[in-house]
Amino acid sequence: MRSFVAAVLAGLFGAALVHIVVVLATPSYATRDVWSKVQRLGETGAFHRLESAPAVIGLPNRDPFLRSAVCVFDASHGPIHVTAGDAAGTPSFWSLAVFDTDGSEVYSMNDRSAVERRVDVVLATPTQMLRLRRSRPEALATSILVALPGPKGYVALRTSVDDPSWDETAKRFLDGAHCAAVDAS
Amino acid sequence: MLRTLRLPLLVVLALAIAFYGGIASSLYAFDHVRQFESVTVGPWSAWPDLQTGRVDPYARAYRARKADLLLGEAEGVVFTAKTDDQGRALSGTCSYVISGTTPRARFWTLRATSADGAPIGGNPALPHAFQSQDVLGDGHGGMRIAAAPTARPGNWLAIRHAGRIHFVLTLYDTPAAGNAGIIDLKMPSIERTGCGDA
Repeated sequence: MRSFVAAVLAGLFGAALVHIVVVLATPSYATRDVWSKVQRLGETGAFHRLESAPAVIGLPNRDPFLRSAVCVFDASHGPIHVTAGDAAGTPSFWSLAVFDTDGSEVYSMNDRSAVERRVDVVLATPTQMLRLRRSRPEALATSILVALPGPKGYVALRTSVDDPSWDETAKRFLDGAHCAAVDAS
Repeated sequence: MLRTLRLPLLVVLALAIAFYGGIASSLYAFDHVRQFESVTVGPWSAWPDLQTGRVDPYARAYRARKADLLLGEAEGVVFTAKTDDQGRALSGTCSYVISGTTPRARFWTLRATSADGAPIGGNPALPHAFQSQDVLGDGHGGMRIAAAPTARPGNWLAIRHAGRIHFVLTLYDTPAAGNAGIIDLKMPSIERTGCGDA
């Protein structure tokens, strides 16, 4: 009887260990997490609009009054310059969020905190950041600088569509968005 | 015979408890972590810091399994209701009145979804979603939306659906996103007014 109790106790102790391992390992072993989904949207370094209909990738645009686009970036060959919007066609609301490969938010903002309501953000690793601060390229003078924890991640850009007549503006805004690497050396 | 088998049997028992107990408790945790860590206001619940790096391993595992594109802090916060004020599950065959005020936000949107988060209703001519600019006020600074399977006067949210539904209220550009645990949030009430053909 004593050894039976001991076996049950050992089993419960083991269960606690298994529990901890499963919980900690799930994020790195989840093959269908956001990072793997966004990579399937298309090539790196460009925005891809999300469909409102349930997509094959399983990353639909959920809010019918919003349109979204996602860009996967890799800053290992230079900082990423995210731009969108111009004087003519900036929608009434946009928001942007930068995530790392874990899906943790690195930075987010909306049009109220932007210069002239344009999207103009530079994503840089700490070393690139130092170089940028020293050289201060003219083209990036008014950009918002965001420090990345790692070179890879994704940017989500969203814009509001008050009614279907705004669809075209939203589409133009999202299609005109860029997130390519810049040469800042 | 039994004596020689005793030790292996005990080892198998211990391993079985460890394996099944560990897996089952993890799955239970993944399914229930939301109700322990989210912010609830009446029937509404939100998890405003789920997308941040500050969350614990349970929330991280939940986020990885959920695999959804989340809203950043400066973007907004999503509230979901699965029940009415009395705690009864929301159904696509019942009628509800959603009334009251929302936390301060640039604008908000309200939509009904099926229990798995997919949009409901195949008829695009019916109002399956609302945004704050389109909602008729109740005259006291609040809103009053009738969610029902059949048409209603005023603000009508069409929810005809066989089975359970959720209401999703998203606040965009809101101070509630960063401080949902701290500031006092006021969310609209969800009152069931009838079921079936009523």
